[in-house]
Amino acid sequence: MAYVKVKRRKLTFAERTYVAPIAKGMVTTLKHMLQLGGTERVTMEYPEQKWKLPDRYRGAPVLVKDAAGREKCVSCSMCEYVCPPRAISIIPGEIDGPVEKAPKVFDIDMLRCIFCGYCEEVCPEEAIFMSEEYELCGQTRAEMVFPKDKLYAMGEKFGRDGRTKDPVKKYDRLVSEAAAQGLDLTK
Amino acid sequence: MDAVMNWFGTPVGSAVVKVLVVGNVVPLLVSFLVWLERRVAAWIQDRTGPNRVGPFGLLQSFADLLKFIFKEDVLPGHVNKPMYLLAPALAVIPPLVALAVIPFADRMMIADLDTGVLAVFAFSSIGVYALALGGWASNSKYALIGGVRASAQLISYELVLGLAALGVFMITGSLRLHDVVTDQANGLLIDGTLRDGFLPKFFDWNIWKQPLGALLFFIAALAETNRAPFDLPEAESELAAGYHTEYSSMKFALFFLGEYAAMVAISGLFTTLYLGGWTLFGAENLFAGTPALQTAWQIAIFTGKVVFLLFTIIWIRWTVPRFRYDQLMDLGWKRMLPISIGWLVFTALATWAYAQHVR
Amino acid sequence: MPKLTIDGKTMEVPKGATVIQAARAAGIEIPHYCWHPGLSVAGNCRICLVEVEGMPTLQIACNLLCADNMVVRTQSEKAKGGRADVMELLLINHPLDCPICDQAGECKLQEYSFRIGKDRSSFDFPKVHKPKHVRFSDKVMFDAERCILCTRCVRFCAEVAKRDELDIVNRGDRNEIAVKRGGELENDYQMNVIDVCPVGALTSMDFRFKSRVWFLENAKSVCSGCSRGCNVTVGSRWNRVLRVIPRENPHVNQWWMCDAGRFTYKGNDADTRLGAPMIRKNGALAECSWDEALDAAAKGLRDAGADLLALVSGRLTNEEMWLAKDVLAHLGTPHRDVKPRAFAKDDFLRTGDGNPNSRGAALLGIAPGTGGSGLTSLGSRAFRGAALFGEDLDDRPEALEALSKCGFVLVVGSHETETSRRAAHVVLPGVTPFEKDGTYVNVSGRVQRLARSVIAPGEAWPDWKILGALRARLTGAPAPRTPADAFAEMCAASPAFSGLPWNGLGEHGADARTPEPAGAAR
Ligand code: SF4
Ligand code: SF4
Ligand code: SF4
Ligand code: SF4
Ligand code: FES
Repeated sequence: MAYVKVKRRKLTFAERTYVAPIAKGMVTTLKHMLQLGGTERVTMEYPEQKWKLPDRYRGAPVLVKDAAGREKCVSCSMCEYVCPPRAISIIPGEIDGPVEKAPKVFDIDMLRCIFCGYCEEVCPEEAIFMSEEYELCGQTRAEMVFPKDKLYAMGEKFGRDGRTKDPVKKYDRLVSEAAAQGLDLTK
Repeated sequence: MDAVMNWFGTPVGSAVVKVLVVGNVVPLLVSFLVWLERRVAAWIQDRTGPNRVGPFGLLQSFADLLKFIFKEDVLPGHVNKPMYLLAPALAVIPPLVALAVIPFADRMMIADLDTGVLAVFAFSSIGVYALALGGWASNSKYALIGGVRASAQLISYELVLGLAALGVFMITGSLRLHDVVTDQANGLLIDGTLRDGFLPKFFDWNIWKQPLGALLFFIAALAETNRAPFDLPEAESELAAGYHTEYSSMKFALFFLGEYAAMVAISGLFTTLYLGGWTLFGAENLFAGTPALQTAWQIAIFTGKVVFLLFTIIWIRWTVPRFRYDQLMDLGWKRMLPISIGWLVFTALATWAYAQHVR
Repeated sequence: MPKLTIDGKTMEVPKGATVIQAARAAGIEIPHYCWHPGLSVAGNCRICLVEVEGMPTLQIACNLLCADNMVVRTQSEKAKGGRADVMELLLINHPLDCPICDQAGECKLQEYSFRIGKDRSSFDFPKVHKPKHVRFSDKVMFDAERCILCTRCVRFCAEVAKRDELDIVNRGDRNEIAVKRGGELENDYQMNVIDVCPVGALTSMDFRFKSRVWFLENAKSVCSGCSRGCNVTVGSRWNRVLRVIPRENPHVNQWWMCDAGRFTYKGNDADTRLGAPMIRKNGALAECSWDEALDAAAKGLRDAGADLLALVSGRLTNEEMWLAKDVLAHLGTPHRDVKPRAFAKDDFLRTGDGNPNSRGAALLGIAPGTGGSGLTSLGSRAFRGAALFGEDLDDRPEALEALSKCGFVLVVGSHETETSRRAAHVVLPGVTPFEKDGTYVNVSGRVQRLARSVIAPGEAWPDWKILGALRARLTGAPAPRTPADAFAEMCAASPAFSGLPWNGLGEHGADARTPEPAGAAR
């Protein structure tokens, strides 16, 4: 099968004058211009109009606290390790209580972040989530490195279906279990 | 006050006023036109178009102008400088000069020449130099092809343009554009008697007396102004940007401006020749008592017709795909030229027959 | 000599060897927690189960003596299943603290759980909780929940450190490790329990939460604490040394090192680090360019000539000592010496000599030459000039006083000291042993490689580069481009090192050619 010869249709005289087809075409475009016959504008006028984001949308990664307002992150650095563009930098720190550890510094460089969601995926404490925030801008590079406070503030704001605020009280359970066995872990 | 009004009555004074009026209406029209082009294109494509700068985005063109002014003006190293710099200027000046002889209102023309329409053709044919020069001086293959295409295309269609318009002058018996307009506002002359009233005045427009001529003129006008479907000199899908590929910043903007000014000029000419110019079935004399208002009103009528034409041109552009170059030449030489000659002969015969009859 | 077969490999092993040792020698790894090559066999963790033909039950490889015609299978379904069950039992009460556990990443429990364990537990009840973060001392932190009671730590204290300080207390699932009589760990080798602990039950207070171990860049180096030259692994991150842990070397330190050696890195990023060369102008030290400083130093040395007293630090590498010696020979001065440095002494690793390379100095003859005088003469005799290579006299006020009277004093050192502040005319910033490559000779004559783990601050140069540049200015001999160049030069000229290959020293070093320094003058 080398090639198929497509037979051209013989054009009518009206068609060959161009006038009729062009007029037909112009009627079509006129319809779109005036939004007749079921045509409608598809442009979304951002920022007045915004997308309704799908549930799985991955915006900026943010940090969340548990229902008791404690930092969930224990600075295990798994996210720092898994992050492909190395956007996260953590300096772990020691805290009182049964959890022992929380980040002293937790920076995400939003200019580096590629919103892959690996950090959310890898986090063993469900402390980091991909929020719905996609309007990230700043005037300097330094401004785009989001520190811990800012990430927690963003986490407060973007609770999605309560998912990011779910009451994981791992350490409450630990403490009460230990208490039942006569051991005080809170000191 | 009177002194001022009187000064306006003097030849110098009236000339100044005319220049001011025409010189302002045209750039405003052009800026409006650019906006219209983009809005209409958007609407046809179910989009919104520029709507941020000013009400409905009407000031978009001025924002664009500012942008063009502040853009880096690149002067490629391999160009023929004098020619390269001359081309954008040549693109703007002819259409503006051509506009000088087009009557915007009764007596509102900068130069009322006996040879009016010839002047228009003369000037507009200079426009081809801009394209050919720009293309050649750029020393780039795309630009050169664009320039060569432009010269061939413009020369081919100028012929049809002139022949189509001749019919009008046969009927009018004058080359003065002012006469052409007034001739269309008289009412129909049947049986040697003048009929007045709305319908006779409406059908006095040359477009009814010269339908085929008007169609040919309009098509040729599209080709003359490089508008789609005849925008081959700058066919972006084939030639990058055609003859102005190597131009940037304000120089590019000048080509742009020239193209749109040419559209305004040719639409003005079409209005004058076929659509009764500033007249509107007698309504043009509504404010006969106050000359200033009368003039403004007539300019508005004229502008309205021109805008309608411009809209149609834009509408066509976003509807009809570009011609192939051989199709373009085929259409110009093998169809429109014979038809326009035939139409001319027919018009001549009809005019002669009518004159016999009326006498 | 019993002959046995493990996983289809037949081998002959010395009498008395256990199966785990035989397998190890043959490159077959059998999982183990409580067994440690340097400790006695306890046989309590049961993870080393293997199948032995002819025996009805699985056997622990660590306590099974090799016998003739024994056929051992480590990878049979039965053996694998047995180990997986043991793994599950070990994890019954394990807290799975990995996110906050410092051991994560080098934890045998993680490794084996991943490799040979099951992915879920059939245990449904609350876990037994035990005290967390219990301080055993200010160096060692204990977490009873994570402990798998392998008793490696107990055995280390009793057998290696010879201070029987740890024991198991309570009974059944309440078993936990405790310091005897409720005291603190006191022995000087206690931090080794952190390394022997296969899990995160014992962790370092010093390294606690500083960084996850998988981010560390590890350099195989030698401890600069004393002349034993324990082999170490230096872990660094953000260009900072974060920990020093022992590295196995059967010729030197086996698996251990003392606690003091682990803290040698402490001064490494002190504020007193020198970052730029300085020259004394109008009584005050002012920063200048390297060229300027080297020229001034060379001129000062040349002027002092044969009346120059040179102190060469016992912390310099062999290459550096060699270059220094070459410079001094050119100047013709016999006055050269090494300042002794005290260090604790015991009958295990610590030698009592705080100069890691005093043996190298002896081999290269860094000691007063014929008619020369040493450090002790500084108070009694006036020198035209003095040069301190990597050394200071902060601990000897009288000597420092005398030094400051010298006409010209050159100080090469990594830190700003009282000596450099008071006496120096030219200060050249050198580096610490963590910031350069080179070799040391340990107390028993073993030549070992020192490896760079971090980059020195500012414009500091490694001492070999400084000495090379000085020598080039004084003698015109080309400056070595790398420490390996200097090493090659030294080996060619010095019988004690002749024929030693830089790259061939390997991870464990090699013995110097003449272990006993020839004609040491002191
Ligand atoms: S979303 Fe991906 S790139 Fe962004 S911080 Fe998380 S792991 Fe890094
Ligand atoms: S993975 Fe989770 S717990 Fe670990 S450091 Fe990142 S956010 Fe914190
Ligand atoms: S000891 Fe090992 S398994 Fe247990 S919490 Fe620590 S890292 Fe995880
Ligand atoms: S603390 Fe570590 S070394 Fe000691 S018994 Fe427990 S697991 Fe073994
Ligand atoms: S290693 Fe054999 S029982 Fe622990």
